[in-house]
Amino acid sequence: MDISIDDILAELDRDTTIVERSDPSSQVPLTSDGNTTMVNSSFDPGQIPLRKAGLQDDITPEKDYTRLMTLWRNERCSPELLPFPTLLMNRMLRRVQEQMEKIENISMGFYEDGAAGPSQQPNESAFGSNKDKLPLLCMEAELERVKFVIRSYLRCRMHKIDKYMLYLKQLEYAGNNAASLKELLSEQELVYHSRHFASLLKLFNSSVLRHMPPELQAVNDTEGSISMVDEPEWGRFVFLHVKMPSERALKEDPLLERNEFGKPCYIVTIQELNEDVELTVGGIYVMRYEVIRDLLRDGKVELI
Amino acid sequence: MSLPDYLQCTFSPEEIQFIVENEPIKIFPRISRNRSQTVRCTLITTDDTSINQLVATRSCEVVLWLALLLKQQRKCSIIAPQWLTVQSLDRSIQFEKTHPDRFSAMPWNWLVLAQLLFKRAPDDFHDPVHDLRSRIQDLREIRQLKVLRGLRHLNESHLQLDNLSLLEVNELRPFVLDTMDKLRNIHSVSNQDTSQQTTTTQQDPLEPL
Repeated sequence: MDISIDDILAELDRDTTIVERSDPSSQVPLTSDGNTTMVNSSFDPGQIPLRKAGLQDDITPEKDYTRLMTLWRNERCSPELLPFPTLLMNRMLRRVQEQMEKIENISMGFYEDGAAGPSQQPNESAFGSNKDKLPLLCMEAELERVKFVIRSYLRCRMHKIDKYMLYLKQLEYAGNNAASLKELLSEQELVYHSRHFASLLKLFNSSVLRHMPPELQAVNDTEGSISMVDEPEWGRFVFLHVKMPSERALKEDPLLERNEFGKPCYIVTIQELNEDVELTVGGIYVMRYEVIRDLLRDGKVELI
Repeated sequence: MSLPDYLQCTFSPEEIQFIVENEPIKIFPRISRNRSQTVRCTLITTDDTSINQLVATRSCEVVLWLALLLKQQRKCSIIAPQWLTVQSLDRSIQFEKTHPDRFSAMPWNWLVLAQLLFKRAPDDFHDPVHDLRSRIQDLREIRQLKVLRGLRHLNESHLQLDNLSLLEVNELRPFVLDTMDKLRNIHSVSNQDTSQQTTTTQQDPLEPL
């Protein structure tokens, strides 16, 4: 992923103006990290038209959620750890936080909108107050769903961080790849990874390794018949769905070709077998992960 | 540890249902809502205009989980999709029978959606539910048979499974992936062996000299 810093800044700016124009303080912490952005958000009815205005933009809550779902499914199916979507996750967490406060406000009975007034009046009929519970019910149900996806996504990543700990550690030491580990993991995950690695190494050292001859003490020995560093299984088979490209991509994407039936398809090569395979748009395939890795990174296929 | 074993190789049926529940579906509201009356319902994952502007008896589109929620509150009826009628299911069954090597073009979520609607909204169908249910079951069995027959064609290269639904993919996943991984390993090892053999046989004629 080669994104210039200008793109990131532009996206950050756009992002804050769409959702949080009412709250200027949020622009400062957004540049540092995702945690602090969650604290400062007060609900303001004026946000709604603003957010609607943002619909023409590429960033909408709906699209973000769809993206998160795709990322979650990709992460669950792929053998390697995929890059962490820092900006997307910041936005998602901020929305969850805002939504929680909003729900709190509504259920406490003080809602900025005058329309909510009737629910506080004692002479309101049972029917009316019952009706007012419906939005709350929907919002709570939705919140739980979002929380579930985020949780499951993070747990899946954590599992992979544990599994490929040494491999990731080596990425960090491999000189120019240092940036790639930062891209791969979120800040919290980086901390988790280094602390977990340190304490596990300490445990190994104190319980086993110090009793061994010095030449056998390494934990990242790749010389022997079996490498001690667990790499992701690049050749593992995955189920994938070839996404329908946009109109523009249909015309301009150099990777897209037409097969004999005139359908657009991507052509990939399985190195080991010297075999070319057509991946028709809309089709479902079982393929080796290494073969479709680049297509996945470009978002042209999704794992299912 | 952070991800239980049974979730590492595939999705659980509940998670599949969760994914399907994000899809839009048409409903037929029994209540009207507008902005002046009620607390606005603001959603963060989907477009909330349709839910805020419900008009009784005017059909509109919402996401499935919302539809099921409203249905549970008896606030709407769900309009079954076009393919979920006795007539079109019969057509699909016919297609499956006449094309033994292909799957009919069912939506990717047909199985889950049908089961969900049978369970949660059985009174919203025009056709009798038991008829629909038996046809879905037939369809599923025919397709399952095809899948099982196709398993003998598993190879180390790749596999194309168009029109297979998400649930079907999910239940196939552990078996197909493991088998193909094994085949791939066997293939690569046997390849190494043959390449070694050819190098030794090439060297062999030299020895007598």
